[in-house]
Amino acid sequence: MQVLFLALGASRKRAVLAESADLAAAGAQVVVLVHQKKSWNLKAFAPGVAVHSAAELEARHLARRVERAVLYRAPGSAARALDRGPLKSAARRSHRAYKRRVAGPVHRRVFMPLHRRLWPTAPARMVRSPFGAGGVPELLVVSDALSVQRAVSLVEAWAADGLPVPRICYGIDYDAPVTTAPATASNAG
Amino acid sequence: MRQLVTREAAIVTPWYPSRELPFRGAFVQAMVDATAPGLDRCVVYHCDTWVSPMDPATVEAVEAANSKLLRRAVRPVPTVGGADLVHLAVTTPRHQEFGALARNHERQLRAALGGKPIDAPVVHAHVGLPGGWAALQNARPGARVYVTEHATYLDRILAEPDARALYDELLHRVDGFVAVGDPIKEVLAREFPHHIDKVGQIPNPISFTQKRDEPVTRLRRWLFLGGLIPRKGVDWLLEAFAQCHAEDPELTLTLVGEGELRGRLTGRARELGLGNAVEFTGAVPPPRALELMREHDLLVHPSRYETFGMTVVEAVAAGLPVLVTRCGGPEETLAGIEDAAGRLIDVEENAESISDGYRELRERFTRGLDLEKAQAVLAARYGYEAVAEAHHRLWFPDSYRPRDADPVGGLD
Repeated sequence: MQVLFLALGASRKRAVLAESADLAAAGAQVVVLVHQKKSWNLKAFAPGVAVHSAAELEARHLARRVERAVLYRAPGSAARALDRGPLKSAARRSHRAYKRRVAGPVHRRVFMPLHRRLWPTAPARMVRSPFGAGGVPELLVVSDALSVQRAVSLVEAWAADGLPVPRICYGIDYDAPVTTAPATASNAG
Repeated sequence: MRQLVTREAAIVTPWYPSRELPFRGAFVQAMVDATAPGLDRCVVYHCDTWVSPMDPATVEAVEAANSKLLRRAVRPVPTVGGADLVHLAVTTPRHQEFGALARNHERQLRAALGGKPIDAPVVHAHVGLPGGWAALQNARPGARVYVTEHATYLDRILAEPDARALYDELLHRVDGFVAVGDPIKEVLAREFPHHIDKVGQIPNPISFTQKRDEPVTRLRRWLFLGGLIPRKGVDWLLEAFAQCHAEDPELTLTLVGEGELRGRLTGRARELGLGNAVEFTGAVPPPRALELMREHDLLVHPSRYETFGMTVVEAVAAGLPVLVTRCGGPEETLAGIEDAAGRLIDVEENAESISDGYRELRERFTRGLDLEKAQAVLAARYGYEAVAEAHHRLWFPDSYRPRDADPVGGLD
């Protein structure tokens, strides 16, 4: 089974660690999506549990990699080439100023809005990339309040791409087979 | 066509044991375990408060998204006693006031129900705000609604004007209100004297079925179970243990639970040279907590305030003597069997009251305790059967059939 935990708020760590460990021990492919890895003690995750930050996965999109090469890597290489002799400090100052005044604003104000418009489902595609080409998790575990919006947007994007929608739960202890009607209590009896 | 079912109940609760908080709401789970087997159908709605730092715009957006998610994510799963458990996340900003929190639970439970009312003739909620309010506002017309109050922080709830007004309305509209012990009842009598006729008392149920393999023979292995927070008196406990350990180096102390004082207590244990004698296990699930009771010799419970003190009764049920403070609940639960179960000490801001209490208990341990008698008395008061009958009599007064001629428990 392929399982994606959304743990962007990092506010229910004990549950995420325990549940992901149980699933990994049972042989599931488990991916935990976090906002910042530094908010977590990565060693506390069980062997076999893959932890990715959302930004890291989304940055793997081809257009994002091209943008990074053009906007950051190429100027960085040029600055490093000049980073010697009398031009050393001037090159460093110029490169810092370039990143602050040009690259950053272009990335935030031009590229990212354009990227969102041209590839609206790219973030959702990249989030499922750890499951392999065409892979989609079978179970989506929403683990905190700050993951709720992302869960909805992922499911909507996958559905728009014609992909199967995973089962969703707020914890693996509350996962049950999906019936044709949503099994809220008023119609469960 | 749907079969007519007469004995159905829904339980609405913000507290129920979970992976994140294995201790929270163990008494609600016990209540379900006790009462559900006597029902035709029982559904537990665990409205799990998920707190995150959010600005007002984010709060609104997250709740709107959650209302979409709830319909997909909420599915009944089996829980104790043959009941169904419906777990839902209630997205909540940090520091939400109690009145707003109650309305939040009301809205998000409604979203999980797809806008329909709870399909049960009896709805029993735990904790007035938010549980009672969410239950009352989502019960179907004609349903009877009851509330059990456990909150140790009831005074803080009632200090907020909005929450107080909701609480007053809740007391006015519900069919019955249950306090788990005298401390809660006293607060309600003081704050809402016009509703006191509606307030009864049913304790939390305790299982008396599992006994320890060997009886306690010496009071060497101390156990504390609960939050590592100031209200539990754990600072004084550690100091008292150090005093007693200096006299008997074979003593050990196991602290089970989590809380803000853990780091400080760990450091203090090291300073006192107790590194090998004191163990911090962190929080454990309720079944493991009961196992630990059977593996230790003495429960030390130096709390400053308890509305009931379930841990103390569970310890006696597990054959464990208790050294416990008169902090509200315990003197009521152990009334008449104080010396048979262990020793009660006053709440004092020092370690000596605990260490002196231990020495006195140790002196009379072999000749003065009668744990079997204490267990029999407590089983009649707080055993599953007694507490279940009290609830069934409350919920279904017309169809209530006592299991014997002289049932125990019930609203007083």
